[in-house]
Amino acid sequence: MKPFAKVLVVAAFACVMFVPMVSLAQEEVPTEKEVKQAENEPPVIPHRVQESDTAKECLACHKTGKKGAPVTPHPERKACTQCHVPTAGFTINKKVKGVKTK
Amino acid sequence: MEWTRRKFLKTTAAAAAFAAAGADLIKGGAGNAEAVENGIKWGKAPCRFCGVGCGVLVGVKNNRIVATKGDPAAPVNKGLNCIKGYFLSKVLYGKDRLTKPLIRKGDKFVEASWDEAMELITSKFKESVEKHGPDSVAIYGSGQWTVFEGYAASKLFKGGIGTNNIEPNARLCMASAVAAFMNTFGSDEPMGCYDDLDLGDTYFLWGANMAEAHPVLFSRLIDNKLKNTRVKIIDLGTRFTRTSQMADMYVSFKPQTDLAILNGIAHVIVKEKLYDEDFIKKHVVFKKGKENIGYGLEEKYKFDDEPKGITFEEYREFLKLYTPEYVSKLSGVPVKTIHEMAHLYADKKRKVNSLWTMGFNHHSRGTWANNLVYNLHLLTGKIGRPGENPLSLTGQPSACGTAREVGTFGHRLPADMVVMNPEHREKTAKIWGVPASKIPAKPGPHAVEMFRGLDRGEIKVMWIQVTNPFVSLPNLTRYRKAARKEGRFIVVSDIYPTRSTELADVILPSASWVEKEGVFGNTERRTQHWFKLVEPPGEARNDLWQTMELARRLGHGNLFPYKSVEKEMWEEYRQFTIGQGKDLAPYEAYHKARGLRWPVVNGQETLWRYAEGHDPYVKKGEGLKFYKNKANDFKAVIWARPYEPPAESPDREYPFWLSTGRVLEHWHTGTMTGRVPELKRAYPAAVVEMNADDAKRLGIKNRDKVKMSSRRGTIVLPAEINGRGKPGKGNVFVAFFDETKLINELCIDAYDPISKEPEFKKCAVKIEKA
Repeated sequence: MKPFAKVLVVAAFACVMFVPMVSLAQEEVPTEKEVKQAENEPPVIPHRVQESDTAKECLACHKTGKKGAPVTPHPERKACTQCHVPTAGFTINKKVKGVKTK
Repeated sequence: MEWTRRKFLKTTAAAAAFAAAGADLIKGGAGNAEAVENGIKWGKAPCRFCGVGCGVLVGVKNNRIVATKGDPAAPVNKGLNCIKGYFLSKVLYGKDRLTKPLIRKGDKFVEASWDEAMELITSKFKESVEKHGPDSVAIYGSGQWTVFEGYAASKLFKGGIGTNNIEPNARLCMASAVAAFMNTFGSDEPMGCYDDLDLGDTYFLWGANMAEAHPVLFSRLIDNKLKNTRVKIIDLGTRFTRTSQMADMYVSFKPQTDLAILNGIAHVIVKEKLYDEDFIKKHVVFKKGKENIGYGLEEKYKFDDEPKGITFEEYREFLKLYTPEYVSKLSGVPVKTIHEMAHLYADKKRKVNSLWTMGFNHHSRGTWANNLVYNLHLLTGKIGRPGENPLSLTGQPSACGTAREVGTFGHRLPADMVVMNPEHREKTAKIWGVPASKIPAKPGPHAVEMFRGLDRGEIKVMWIQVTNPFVSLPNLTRYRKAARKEGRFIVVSDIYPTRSTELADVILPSASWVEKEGVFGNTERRTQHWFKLVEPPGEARNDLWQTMELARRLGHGNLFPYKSVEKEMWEEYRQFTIGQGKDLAPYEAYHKARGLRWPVVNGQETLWRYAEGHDPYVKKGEGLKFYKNKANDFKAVIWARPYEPPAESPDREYPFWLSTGRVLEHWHTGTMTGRVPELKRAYPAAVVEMNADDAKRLGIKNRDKVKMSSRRGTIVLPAEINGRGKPGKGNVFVAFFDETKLINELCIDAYDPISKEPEFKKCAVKIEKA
């Protein structure tokens, strides 16, 4: 067998062995950063925010750590409230009473 | 998929990163789908909630879920979850989890053994079938049934008891999408997939609040937008939402006029000859159906569409009415915007996608709305190609995998087959090992009609699994009363006490999610498997076991002769799909994969159906072929469907439109999310969202209590003005998750006569200060 063919065979074998180990469906591969992000529950919001606030308002502090705010590891994500919910009372103009679960 | 060197290296790097993250599933333990670290055993599962089907890693210690995290190896969500997904570890551990069978004694429920409960249920089924025939019993399940649970229920009722009285709550959710997939393409479920969210550049969202109802997919869309400045998101709705806030263009319209807007866009495309003539010649036929089709408000309402072929000329003639001026008057959308949208749809340099969900489906002309959006893609040829497709989003984890693919509807059988077709019955009976005569040819009643039948007394015994109909049905008061009528017997299987269990005669404690083995199928045809990771609490048991136990006690145990239940049942079910363009893979193929999109042929999944080079059923040189639509010469159908008003519109007495829907923090009727303290605190109770001008006119201030009534019911709720959602003038919105506020008592039980899906998004209400 020519050396080149040998390389091909080895490569093919490696592929065959590896494909089922990962996933047939796996298309795109997460980055290390994405893996890290997936680790924990997202922190809740311990302060009041306005419903009209967008990522711009959140990042005003959470991008740089202004006023001691925790710095977000993912400033590129723009739907903040998809994962971060407030601990109590969401909008400034809304007071919510706790409702008992049964 | 081609394995280039780069991809190989990328994958290797990912495996290393993955291992570093502490969830060594790839190299790990049993079946490679589980791994152990620090005493925590990790397994994979799809999320329990919506139809997006995010991959989740589940950490288990001492028979308890102690952590969950987004699965970085899952192509759907790439490690991201929404807030509900992040709190998955808590949904099964509410304090009031049901752990013992309960039997009603007067107004109380008394604990019973499984044997007592099952014996009572069996005797009621037997008695009813003997006295009143098999159509006097029914099962009402859900798009949260695992494939196995749905398959077993369908097999027992259709192939064993001999009745088609089986419906899923998906009738309240996806039926219009199904009807339109069938009458347009001859086969259910989308041609495209989530990859279109990354690859396209123009996204029309039709009445879909993706930011709250499909958050992870919306994030994918926003990611695309950040990477590609060409990306444009156009949000059409009757209420300004978090989705609208992030869209490039918000188009507000009057309820129901989406039908007119869609025809208006088609009008411009056809009039200005912006269509793809070559595509139309090759791939499209034109049809029209019945008009003035009613609303199903009458008892036992019957409707069959009568499709007629028409020519392109006749379709052009039909569209003449829908001038931008006429449509603008009807809908409130500016003439200019209708032109602009038409040009966006037709722009040859743009990859256009349409996304929709309950705005179209909860619609008394839902099938038409679905048809009309397909028209736009068929006129412009933007379909079946990577990055440009119409995509119907689903709301339940297995509305596709179970309700639609297994066919747990009154009229359906697995893999797009129907009970009305003798060949389909024969094929099904053969695989099930029952005589073909066993499966009735008459379709069972659709969900609304099933509960009307319960009220009228035709249905006497009903088993409800994995759903909460006595919160989620429209015109709810009638059906709640029906459940407690003399001579009815209701069984409810659930994991928590709900507003449905309170109306039951027997309550059965169920196992949920990773307390059992299961398979779900998501929006993009992705079939996902998980293993059982923890034991259910107390005496709670799998719904699959419950159904098979009823079968055994009724003398139909021969239907389930399996030793290794899930595996053998899967391989049996899989036979329906092979060669049908809906091919599922062997059971083991799903154990490690983060789901596979069907058809799976020779181990390869399919990203784009009907497309050469992607779908193995399309031969070389065919390009695009709607190969499931044999009846229409393998072409798709453009339907001439008119605008018609809804069943009930606002008037002097009831001047507001009421729409219902979801919020981000809660899912469906809130039985699970309502028991997670973080989620409950974040959104504790339902409110009525009002337009600021309307509120001002009525003297209503934010958080004032208001009394809202329709012709069917009354509710008192705090008003929310300029809150999360801002309804257009004359519209109000209430989310339906709050079990203490049954908003569906106000909803009308009108439905789309084609799909039989009810209208949850439109009815007339009045509002007073309470």
